[in-house]
Amino acid sequence: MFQPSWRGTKRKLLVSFTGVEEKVDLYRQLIPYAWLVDEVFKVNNNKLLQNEQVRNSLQNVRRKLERLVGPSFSWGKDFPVEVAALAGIGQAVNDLVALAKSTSEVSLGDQDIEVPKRKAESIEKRSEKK
Amino acid sequence: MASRENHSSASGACEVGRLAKERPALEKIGSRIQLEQQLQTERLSEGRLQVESEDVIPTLETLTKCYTNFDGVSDRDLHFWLPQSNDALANNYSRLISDFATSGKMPNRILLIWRSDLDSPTILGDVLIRHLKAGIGVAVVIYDELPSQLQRLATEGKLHFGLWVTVKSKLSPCFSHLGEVQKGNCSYHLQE
Repeated sequence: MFQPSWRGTKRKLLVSFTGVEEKVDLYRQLIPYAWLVDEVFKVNNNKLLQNEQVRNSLQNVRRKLERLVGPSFSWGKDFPVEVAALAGIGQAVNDLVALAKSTSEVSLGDQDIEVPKRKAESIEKRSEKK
Repeated sequence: MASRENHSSASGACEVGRLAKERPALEKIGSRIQLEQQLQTERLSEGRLQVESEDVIPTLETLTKCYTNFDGVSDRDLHFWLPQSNDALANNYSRLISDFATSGKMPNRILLIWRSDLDSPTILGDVLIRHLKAGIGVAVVIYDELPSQLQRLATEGKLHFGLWVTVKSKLSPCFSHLGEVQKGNCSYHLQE
């Protein structure tokens, strides 16, 4: 079981020159689920972000999130929350917290799971009231 | 040169064998060291190595010199990256990756966090500021929002790694894996 707290433990480094492709694939799979990214990450991963599969997954996640939080949320260009400079960190974290609160009742989890419409509407109405 | 080393190593082994006969503790300790070396040699022949905590930083230093890109995934380990961490390894690791960025190379890290980590947004903010200041590209992924298949891999400890790559080079890429080791029994649960 993974321990959320690392204090009081020592760490070992495991280095492997084999099985790298599997890790590259995992890294690629994680990117569409990023809800907050900074500009450097986008620039450094520019090539990966052009990948059709990654773009499709990004759009898929975004569509589902949009149904939950409604159009009032201020979206980044590619990811829900994007931050360009240090000064923007506070706002970005606040936006991430707001996004997480709006979706806390329905976890997107598996991509093929459709968000129940009624639940999505109720969340949308609630966020409008705020 | 090699034959002199072989000769010296063989005579060293003889000496250890002779001493060990009279000193059972030496024999036990020697056997453990030899077994560890044997295991390490086997791993190396398979393209893997395991580095003890005191050698982690020198090994990572070598990796930062050999590769131009680093893409890490930190699995629900937010406190490890706090700027005020007292952990020497955490601080040295962060300094190393920061130096990697200042030398014009490209480090990135995906921070996989618990949804409950957002209950203390200041911690996440501090960690993000540390990354941005160091020039490390950062992305935040909420574990609870991952598809079940990726959550399962995270539970198995497979989403805690770093990829070392040199773009447009014949150099083979590799990945590193900072596993957590329990004090006392030395069993690590993030080993693959």
